[in-house]
Amino acid sequence: MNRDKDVAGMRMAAIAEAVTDDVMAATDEQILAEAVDEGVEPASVAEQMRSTTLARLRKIKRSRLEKARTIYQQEPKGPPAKVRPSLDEMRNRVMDLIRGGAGGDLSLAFRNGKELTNSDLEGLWDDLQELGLLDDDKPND
Amino acid sequence: MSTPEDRLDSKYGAAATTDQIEEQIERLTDADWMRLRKMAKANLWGIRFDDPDELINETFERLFTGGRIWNVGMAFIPWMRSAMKSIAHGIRNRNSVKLEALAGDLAADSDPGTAPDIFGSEGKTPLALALTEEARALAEVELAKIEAHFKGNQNVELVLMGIEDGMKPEEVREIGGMTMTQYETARKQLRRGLDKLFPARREK
Repeated sequence: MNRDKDVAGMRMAAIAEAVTDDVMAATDEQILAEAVDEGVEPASVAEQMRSTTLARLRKIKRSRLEKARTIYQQEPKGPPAKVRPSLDEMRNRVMDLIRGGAGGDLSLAFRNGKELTNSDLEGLWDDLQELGLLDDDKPND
Repeated sequence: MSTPEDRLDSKYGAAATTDQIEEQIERLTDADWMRLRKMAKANLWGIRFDDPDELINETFERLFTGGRIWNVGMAFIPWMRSAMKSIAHGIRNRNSVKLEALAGDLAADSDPGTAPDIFGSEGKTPLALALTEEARALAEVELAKIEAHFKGNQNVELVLMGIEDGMKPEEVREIGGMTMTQYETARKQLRRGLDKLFPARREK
């Protein structure tokens, strides 16, 4: 590299630094007045710059959100729907487990004399299956 | 170049999220935007951008896509000043242009939005310049225009000389026999003269 060739560049860099120093030191009023003097309407130009910049940022945010959503939608969503046996079969097997103390609040309610609805039974079956408390050797249907 | 380490080592807060950047931009006043334009304009020497908005937009783009990191708590306008200077330096710097080609290769297989910003870096002194041929030619033309424009204005010529030689204001004043007011007036004439000499698109 021949640094001598960059003399003009070094001088321009120094001028740019001095100018930006002065711009930073100037008051807001001076900056706005100078803009007007240069034929620029500060409020209008600032609003245009602001809206363009924010629009670009919001577009990037939307694009990231879309990307994340696509990735999320492509991911497998948990285990496949469980195959339940008949209601009678479920009731019998759940009853066996409840007698053994499984089933949490629902089984407690049942032991207290409340009826398990079909919906309760299906929910409890799924919970017990997820907890691995069902005997896999027994047929499910 | 920003690295994950920069984010951790910063004496300021964490790297700003896009929401925090958005809030910061919404808070910028009209004077802030005008100040950004003036500083961008000063940094356009030696590059082919013909409007300060292009450098401002480029800087925001790198901020939005992670190429530049602004940490929460950092004064935003000085940060933008430094980032614009660095990006402009990268565009006109020979070594950075080579790195740009490399970055293009690196980014080819990744999200361009997350490609690292390897153009230019903070803390480079003018002595570290290694201008591209185009940047050097442009700088020579621009400097000649400045010298011709202020020819005969002795005080501004002295201020220019002082700036280029890294002299203190007192030294320039002493050499030129200028009062503080005369020095400040000359310096303002220089800045306003440059504004008129290199008008931005909106000012033409």
